[in-house]
Amino acid sequence: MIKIADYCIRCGLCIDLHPELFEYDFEKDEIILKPEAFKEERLDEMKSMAKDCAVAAIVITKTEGENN
Amino acid sequence: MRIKNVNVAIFGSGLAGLTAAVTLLEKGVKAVAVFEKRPFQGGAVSNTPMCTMAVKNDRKYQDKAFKEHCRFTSFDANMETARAWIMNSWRIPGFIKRLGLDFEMEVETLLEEIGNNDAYTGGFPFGMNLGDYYILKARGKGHGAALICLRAAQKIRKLGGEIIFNTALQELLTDEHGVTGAIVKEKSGETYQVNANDVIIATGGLGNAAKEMIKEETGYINTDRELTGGGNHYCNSFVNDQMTGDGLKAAWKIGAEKTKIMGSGRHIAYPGVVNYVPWIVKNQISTIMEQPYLIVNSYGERFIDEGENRRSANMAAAMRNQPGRIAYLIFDEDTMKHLETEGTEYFYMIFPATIIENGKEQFREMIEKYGSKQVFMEDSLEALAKKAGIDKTGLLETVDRYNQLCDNGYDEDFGKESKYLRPVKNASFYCIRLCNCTYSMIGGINVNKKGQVLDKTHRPIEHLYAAGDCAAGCIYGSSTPNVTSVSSISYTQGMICADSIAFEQERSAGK
Ligand SMILES: Cc1cc2nc3c(=O)[nH]c(=O)nc-3n(C[C@H](O)[C@H](O)[C@H](O)COP(=O)(O)OP(=O)(O)OC[C@H]3O[C@@H](n4cnc5c(N)ncnc54)[C@H](O)[C@@H]3O)c2cc1C
Ligand code: SF4
Repeated sequence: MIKIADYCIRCGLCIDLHPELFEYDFEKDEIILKPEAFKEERLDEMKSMAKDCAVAAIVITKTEGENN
Repeated sequence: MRIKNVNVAIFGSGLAGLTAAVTLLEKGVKAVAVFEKRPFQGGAVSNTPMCTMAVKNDRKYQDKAFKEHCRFTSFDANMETARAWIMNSWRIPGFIKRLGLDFEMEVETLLEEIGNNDAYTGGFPFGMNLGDYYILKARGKGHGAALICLRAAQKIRKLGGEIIFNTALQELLTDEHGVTGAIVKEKSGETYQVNANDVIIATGGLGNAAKEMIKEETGYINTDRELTGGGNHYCNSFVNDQMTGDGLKAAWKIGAEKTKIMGSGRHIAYPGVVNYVPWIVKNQISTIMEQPYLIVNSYGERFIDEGENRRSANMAAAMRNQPGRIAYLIFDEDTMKHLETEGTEYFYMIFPATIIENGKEQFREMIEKYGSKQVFMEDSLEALAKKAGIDKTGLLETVDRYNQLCDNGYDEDFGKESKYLRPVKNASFYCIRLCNCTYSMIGGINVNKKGQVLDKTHRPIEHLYAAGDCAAGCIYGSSTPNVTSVSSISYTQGMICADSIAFEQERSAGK
């Protein structure tokens, strides 16, 4: 499972680095994951971005039935 | 109306507000609550700050730093408050370490280097060396100060304090003894009353959303990165849509003295193809922008020794006196070749590059692929002037004169070092438009050495304190702030407010 934790500081680093995976929802004042972010072939990029996030707000966890 | 009672109410959860809260709680002060307009902590640091500055806890260093600061501001600032900052800043590294964090690098400023106009010695372009520079250790490609704020928020909760998000200061409440609390507004639109024994305003500076206020207070026309609609200034802080000067307005409304609001100086162009985080650059044009080549105003006239182009605060101040407050860096193909083969004149560690790779292609990509309105490349100076919006006759005259000076090897007009005199003769001709950018406008509230907010007669308003960007301006007066020191003021003023409140509360409890 992939999600953005509520302590995300909306710095936009993830959008600058991976605009196809992350975007800003200005209405909700939240960073959201684009559909592409959930694709298997993007997992490595998501993991790498999770390591780059200033406050570790990109949370990737294994859920039952998932291989990764 | 709903009422919430706290002991100390802090408005704003940037470095200043969080440092104040942690320091109060570390001193055993109870019922400390931080109210934050946005849904997360951190304020301006949600975007970058990567370094801070502290003067050694040594009288020789502190006295020299203070003297140099007085000289830098021409004494046109609040000297006792500046002194309090310099005398207390040594506490910052310890504060950060107590949060379990460390530094990537520490750059010492020697006694004889204090007052040098280099800042960071390691090649940073802002302001003046006052103390030691601490480059924060970050997580991944993130920014160290964001981690500091996260840890500070965790510590506040652990020590029994509260952080209340989506809740904004609206107005301050007073009685005959001073400030008694505030009215706050939740994101839902609901308001409630906060009663507090002491209040700290730490709501930061002004951002892009405060366009009208910025224009009125500073004369800048805030705009987007492409400087559309005749704009000449951009606030480069992502929190800035919430930075509408609420704390300043609330303080002024109850009689606080209004002080000058200034942009922490930085001249910049935005050719980096990024939207949010300025130091993630995807080309080398920001590095070229810092080089000491011909710079003209919109009349095509020179106005500065371009050697200053690596000292952003100086450039920003000089640009403020030019028509439209913008400027243009101009060079030719020979200089581009020089950058590609011999390398840059300056090395700047945020945008490190010594050799420019295929500069022409980088310009072409910016113009054709990204449609940049800040960089230009043409086959003639006439066409360049037209595209960039520079007066053609003025530019041609200046280039003629400048080329003569280059041939003579002496800059009679501005005294630029001769090694930087590179003629502008052969196509292609390149131009980068420079605007003034700030990380947010600082100042507006005057505070004394205890962090107390001063009224128009320079008397403290009882139980009201201020810290950080909203109060830092009084330390700089009219001079352009040194950006790299600004967070140093936020941390230190946060601590000073906490010291004063803890001391006063203990004293009145003992009575
Ligand atoms: C891109 C960038 C790079 C920078 N780099 C450096 C650097 O390298 N070194 C350095 O020293 N400094 C740097 N700075 C400056 C430094 O970040 C600031 O000086 C410092 O973070 C300001 O802290 P603050 O707490 O005073 O204000 P802020 O961080 O602005 O915090 C103010 C907080 O108050 C909140 N707020 C606003 N209105 C209200 C209200 N009505 N009620 C409640 N809350 C409210 C805001 O949402 C915000 O969270 C940089 C700034 C930026 C933007
Ligand atoms: S990098 Fe992390 S903190 Fe910054 S916006 Fe993305 S998820 Fe949020």
